[in-house]
Amino acid sequence: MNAEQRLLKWVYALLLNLYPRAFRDEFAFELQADFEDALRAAAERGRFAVIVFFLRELRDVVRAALVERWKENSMDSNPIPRLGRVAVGFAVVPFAVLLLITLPNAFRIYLPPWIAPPLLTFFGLMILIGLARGLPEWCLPYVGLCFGIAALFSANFMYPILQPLYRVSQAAWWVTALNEGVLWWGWLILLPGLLLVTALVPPLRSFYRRVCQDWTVLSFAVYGAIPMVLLLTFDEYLGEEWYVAAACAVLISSAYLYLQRHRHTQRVMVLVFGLSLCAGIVIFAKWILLPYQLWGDVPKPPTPDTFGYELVRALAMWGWMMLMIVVLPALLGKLLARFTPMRAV
Amino acid sequence: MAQATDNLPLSETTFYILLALAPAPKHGYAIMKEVRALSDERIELSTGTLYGALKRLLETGWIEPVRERKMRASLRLRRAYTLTALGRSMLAAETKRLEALVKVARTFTAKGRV
Repeated sequence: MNAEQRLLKWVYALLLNLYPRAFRDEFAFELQADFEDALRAAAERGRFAVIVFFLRELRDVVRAALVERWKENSMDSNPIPRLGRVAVGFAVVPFAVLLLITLPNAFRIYLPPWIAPPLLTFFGLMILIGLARGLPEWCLPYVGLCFGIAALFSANFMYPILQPLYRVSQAAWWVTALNEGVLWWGWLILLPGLLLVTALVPPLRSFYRRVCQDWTVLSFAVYGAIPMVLLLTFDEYLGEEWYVAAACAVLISSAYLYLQRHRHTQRVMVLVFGLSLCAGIVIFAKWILLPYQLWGDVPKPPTPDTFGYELVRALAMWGWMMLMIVVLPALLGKLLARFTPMRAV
Repeated sequence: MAQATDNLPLSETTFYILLALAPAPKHGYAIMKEVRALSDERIELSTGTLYGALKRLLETGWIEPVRERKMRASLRLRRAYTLTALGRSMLAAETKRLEALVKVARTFTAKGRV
């Protein structure tokens, strides 16, 4: 086999990565062996035959890999078990709590401060029960909320790094966007950390195995932090209650739909749709509410620039959250699936 | 036979693969060569098409892996495939269906209607 054929063989082996993992595990060796035989036979017929053969293989491998992936996604060969009603109820509580504590404010009914400690105790208890049961899906929004708070605190470490940027141009839109993302950078450590812990601690390994099979469970965990983001987004706003309530209703519905879906693609689409609708509500709310806000030591109405600033913030928030809900979990899930032997899964 | 006829007609590729496996078990490349010969070099299966079809045939239980032969260059094993009883009955049913089609076509053309 000459250098040219070795190169074609290498390209072909690389293209086999387009197939789903299960297919590769079963047939990759035979595919490569047959390709090698067929390549050798084509080489005996001349250079032109090799080119025709390789182009045909190239086209068919891509087409066949896409077909296999589509079939794998559309099949319920690995159905996601449906949660019971009680479990679904517990899963939507973190989203419902924000609704319940925000909505009374719209009617000028303010909840007493003593409600916070029992609420936080309940959240902590849910996380402990979830940990004891191997992090089932219903407890992931609680874990997400807890991680969201941790990410918020870790953001303090990021600000000194960003200080030089603020000095360069504090008003630039990209600095604003970057600043919005600081709240989320902690997830880059927290999510891999969670996976590492669940891989090492035997009672939590069932969660690690679930991530290998369905990375959207990580997305659902991150989704649990959105109520906290909503609170931060509307910090110091007046009259935001109805909009926060609408966003909470979207979050509750999308969390419910997520838990009812069996297919991974549908699950992630539900979360993306819920997140995008929330971002839309936030932008609309700010557009309506901004003229009525009186901020600063000396009350003065916001300038037109303020809306631009708030719009960039909301869009940046959406972008960062998309990154943390879709891209990061997908990358981590694919990496785990690739490097974790199937038998271990 | 009701189950067999439910799956008819077979695609041309599936039919040729089953036909190639009818006399004896074969591994992938041997199936590719046999299909090429059976179809007068009209059908040249690529590896992607072949293994997509083989996967489907394994899932439906029409073929099964029979033995594994060691490759010369490595210690890895290469599977050969053979028809199962179900696969054989599918091939027979499709052949019968094609024969009936040809018979109708011949009768029709003999009457000078085409």
